[in-house]
Amino acid sequence: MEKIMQSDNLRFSWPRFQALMRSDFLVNKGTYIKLAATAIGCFIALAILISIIAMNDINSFFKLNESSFSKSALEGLIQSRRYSYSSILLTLCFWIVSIAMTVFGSLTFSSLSSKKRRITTFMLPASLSEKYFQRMLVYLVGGTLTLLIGCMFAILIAQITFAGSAFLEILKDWNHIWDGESFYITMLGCVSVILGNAIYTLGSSLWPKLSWIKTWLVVMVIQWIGGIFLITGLFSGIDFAYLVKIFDSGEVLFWCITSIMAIMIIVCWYFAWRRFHNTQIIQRFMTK
Amino acid sequence: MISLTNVSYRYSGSKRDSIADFSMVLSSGKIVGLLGANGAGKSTLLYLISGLLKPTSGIVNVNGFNPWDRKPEFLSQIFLVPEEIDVPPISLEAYVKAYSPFYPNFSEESMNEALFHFNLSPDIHLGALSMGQRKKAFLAFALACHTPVLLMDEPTNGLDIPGKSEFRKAVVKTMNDERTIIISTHQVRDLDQLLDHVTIMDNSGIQLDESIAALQEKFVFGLAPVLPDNGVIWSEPVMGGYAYMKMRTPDQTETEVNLEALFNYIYSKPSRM
Repeated sequence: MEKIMQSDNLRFSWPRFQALMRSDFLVNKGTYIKLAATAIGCFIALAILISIIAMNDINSFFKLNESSFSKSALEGLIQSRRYSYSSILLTLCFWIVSIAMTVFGSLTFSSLSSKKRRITTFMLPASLSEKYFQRMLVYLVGGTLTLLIGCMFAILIAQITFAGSAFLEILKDWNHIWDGESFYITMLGCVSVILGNAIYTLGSSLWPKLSWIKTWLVVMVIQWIGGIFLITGLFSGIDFAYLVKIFDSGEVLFWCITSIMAIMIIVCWYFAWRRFHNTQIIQRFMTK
Repeated sequence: MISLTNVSYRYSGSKRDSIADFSMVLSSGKIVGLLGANGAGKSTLLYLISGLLKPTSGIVNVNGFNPWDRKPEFLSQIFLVPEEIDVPPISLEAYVKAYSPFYPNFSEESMNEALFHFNLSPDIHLGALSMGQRKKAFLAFALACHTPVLLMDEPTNGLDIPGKSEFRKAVVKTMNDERTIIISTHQVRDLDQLLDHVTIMDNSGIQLDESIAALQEKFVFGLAPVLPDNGVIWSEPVMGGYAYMKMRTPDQTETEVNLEALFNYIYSKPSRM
């Protein structure tokens, strides 16, 4: 106990951070278990649903008259269905991950959602940076791990029920991602998911109550404004195709987009930190 | 020591300062009653002292710390009991295990003693308690942390009659020369015979800032079936007669301070002190 408070480091103390994590888990254990169970449950439900549809579909092939199809053609057909359903499952898993990451982002500062909870959060003897990283560790790192576990469960269920060697085939195809276009798409997908989380984390720091809805509305408004700007630009003769062409190659364009998104992630996290740092007990929007 | 120098605070969107040009110095070893009507700025003052609000202007200093820096070393020396408490639905044992490591002076013995005073057992589950019982458990934890500064905002709200009396006993028991306890309330009767110092404030600032000893020296408080003829500066009809307040003459014996009478006297005509 003495070790925790005797630290000279006012900004970040590892023993204090550990104590903070421990206390958070002791107090919020139930909430975290429910949240993780819900997230994993979504993946399991999805995998079961896809499995039922896939098995019905695949079983219908077995009923086909073997005289009309050669055995190898039939196996090819079945394998292609297995591949399709496995791909669909992975795509849907990706969508769940994307949405769940925004939900986790919007929960990051849920401890500031009421005056009572803000008092508990800010009066706890730990530095603001420790409190901030603790929230990020729970909802960004913990959330990501939970979703990966959920994905693994979904794959496992599909593997047991219908997938056969389909996931292996997909994995083989993915081997090309390191030198092909798929790599850029995968990379962009991952960065987008983190950006989604970062935007909703910022939203959570601004509006800890009903954070997801409020952030979603703001994102929608920004997208509408962006859309109007794009359409206005097209009608006023701006050659967007030329803007794209000025990049030497698709690779340069990809790196530019990824870099912009990475900068946006850091900007979101920074402003979330600033907001957290300056939050006062009487929470009014943009209180100085 | 707690000092506030020309501190002002205005809530965003508000047209007037909640606290304006407020100055106050409190030395250690005192139980201070912060009294005022609703909206007088008592809670705001406590939030400024605890670093939950940043003053619009002026300087707040608590034992050498600027509270707004929210340094962990400062936070481990201060405990705030808010009017409405946030207690998770877990066992008291888990609660203590979660939060006591942050307070170096926390004493389990004091905790158990305070719980005993409040007629609570250490193996309770906070989720199964009534609001008043939860507040008692929280107060027991707050007192057991032995922080040099303890701030309490309307601590007796929600407590039953024996609870209020036990609260006074528990506070006195954990008091020492290094500790400053500030109790903000508008229920002045709950603090009878507990305070060393009284600060009465309203929107325009401090109306009274005196020690109980000084007040006892200056005034005589009494209850009589008929209002005394002379020297009465404030009176109020009560059951069985009048509660009154007089200036004390050297030959008169000192009386207990009637906080309610004092409060009403000050509030009936601000700045008379």
